[in-house]
Amino acid sequence: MNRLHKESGLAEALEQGLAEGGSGSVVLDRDVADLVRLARMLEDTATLVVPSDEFRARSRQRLLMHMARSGRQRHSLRTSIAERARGWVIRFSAALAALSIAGGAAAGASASALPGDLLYPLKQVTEATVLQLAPSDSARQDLLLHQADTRLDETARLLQQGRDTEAGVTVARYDDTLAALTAPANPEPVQSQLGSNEARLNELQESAPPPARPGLERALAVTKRSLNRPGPTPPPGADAVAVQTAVAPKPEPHQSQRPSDVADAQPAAVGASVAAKFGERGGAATPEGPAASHREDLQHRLQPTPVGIEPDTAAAEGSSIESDASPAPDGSDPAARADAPVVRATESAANPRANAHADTAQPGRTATERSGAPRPAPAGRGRP
Amino acid sequence: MDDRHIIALVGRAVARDQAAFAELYDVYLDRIFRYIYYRTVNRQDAEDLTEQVFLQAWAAIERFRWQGKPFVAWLYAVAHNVVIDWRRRGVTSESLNDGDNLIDVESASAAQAMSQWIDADLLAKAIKQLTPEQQEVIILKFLDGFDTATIAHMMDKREGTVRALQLRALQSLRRELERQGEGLAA
Repeated sequence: MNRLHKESGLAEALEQGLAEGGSGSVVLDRDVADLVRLARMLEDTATLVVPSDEFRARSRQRLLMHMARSGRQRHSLRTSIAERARGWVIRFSAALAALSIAGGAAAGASASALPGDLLYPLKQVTEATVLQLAPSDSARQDLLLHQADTRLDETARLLQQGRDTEAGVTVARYDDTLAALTAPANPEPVQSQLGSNEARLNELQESAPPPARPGLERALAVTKRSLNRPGPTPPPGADAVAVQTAVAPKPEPHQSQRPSDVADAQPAAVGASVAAKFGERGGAATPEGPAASHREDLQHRLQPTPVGIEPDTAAAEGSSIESDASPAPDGSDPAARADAPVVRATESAANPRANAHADTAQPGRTATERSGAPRPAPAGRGRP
Repeated sequence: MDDRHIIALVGRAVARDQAAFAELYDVYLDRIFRYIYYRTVNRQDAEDLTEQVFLQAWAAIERFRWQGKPFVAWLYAVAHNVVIDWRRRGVTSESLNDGDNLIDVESASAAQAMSQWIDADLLAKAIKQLTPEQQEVIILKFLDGFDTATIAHMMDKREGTVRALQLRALQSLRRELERQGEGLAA
């Protein structure tokens, strides 16, 4: 205790002696005076300890070059990250395209999904993504033809299962797909495929139950129109407005005259809210006219959506998608249904943007940081 | 805390302004060099490490945040890490005998410079024998000229503790110089 007290007194005296600057106004203990002289010697020699002029100039030059180079690397790093993300999206989409086009059981559960199935939204977003990233008009044309064919497959399977209403919705989507085939890049395969579709629709129409026939009639008319042939007279109940709906912009998906609308009457509000959520613009007329409006509308709908549901489909196919959210027959809470979370999880997993973002989440760190350069400790901490 | 000009320069440097960082280099080069020299006791090593400090500081400048301490305290922290890494690599060398500090003694001014460098070198060697905290206080107080209150803030210590450290550091330094002198006399 006594030693500590003495040391504290000496420390105070030293501080005072250093503050005096050796002016002699304070009589210092001999030991303290020696320490003050030593301190002065340190201060004097400190001014000598400077880097050479040569080093000063060269080091500065090297620092400037390093900074300029690191600036360029940062730029190229950002570019490469963007390119990598884009490449990743394309690869991912190509994989999805392979899954979708292959269509086999092993190609992914969603490839064989039908409207109303849990995985159908995944199938839709896959198709939309692949279409959006088509590298050429010709590729886009092939994809649209394939998707139209897929819609007819789905329609046939739904009819076999007795799901007439969903078959009507699906065949209406076939119409939309054909409407996107404006000015085909290569008309020959289009004509060939449409010829096959026409024959197939005729077959389906012959065996289809009456509720599904108007939709099939409409699809047939659209197919013939695409083949530059006059379409049949619209069947009773499928009026001209309905035919126009297939090839021209529709005011609002849930306001169309499709057969699904009857079934969608109950969840229409939900469909409208979903459409609003995804920025559905409906069929607002554009200065370029209905055709341009339709193209714009279609392009908008083909954009991959954050949750993996085509806005149009979400609204127009309320009978399939909203069925997961609609009250259960037993009146139980739809949110508590086991299948509802599955849909959401699948949608999230299928969102290529979300995945691309995750892939590029890391670049928040710079290349230098990742290189393992020692990080400076917080000032004043971790010192010797 | 630094003056407004330094604060403005730091702000621009944090935003990756190369000219601003180059100006900070001009302002702090001598101090960082000195800080390292008294830890390495070798001019060549001190120059190499000083350059590394500024390169690493540039790489990390975006993470700098004011914590109520002078900007140089952050640079010292970078320098401290650089020196630690350098010691771990085991590339330390002795100064007076390795030829790095050889000065042409043909001229009187060169001889005087050499004499001064020997003084500085001897002091640096003695400082190197102190505890890390004593070294810190000696460098900040007598080589950098910070007052006790600022050093206490930079080292996260009370002023009384810094004064006690300062006393013990000078006492240890004197003993070390005496030991070196006895060694030279022998």
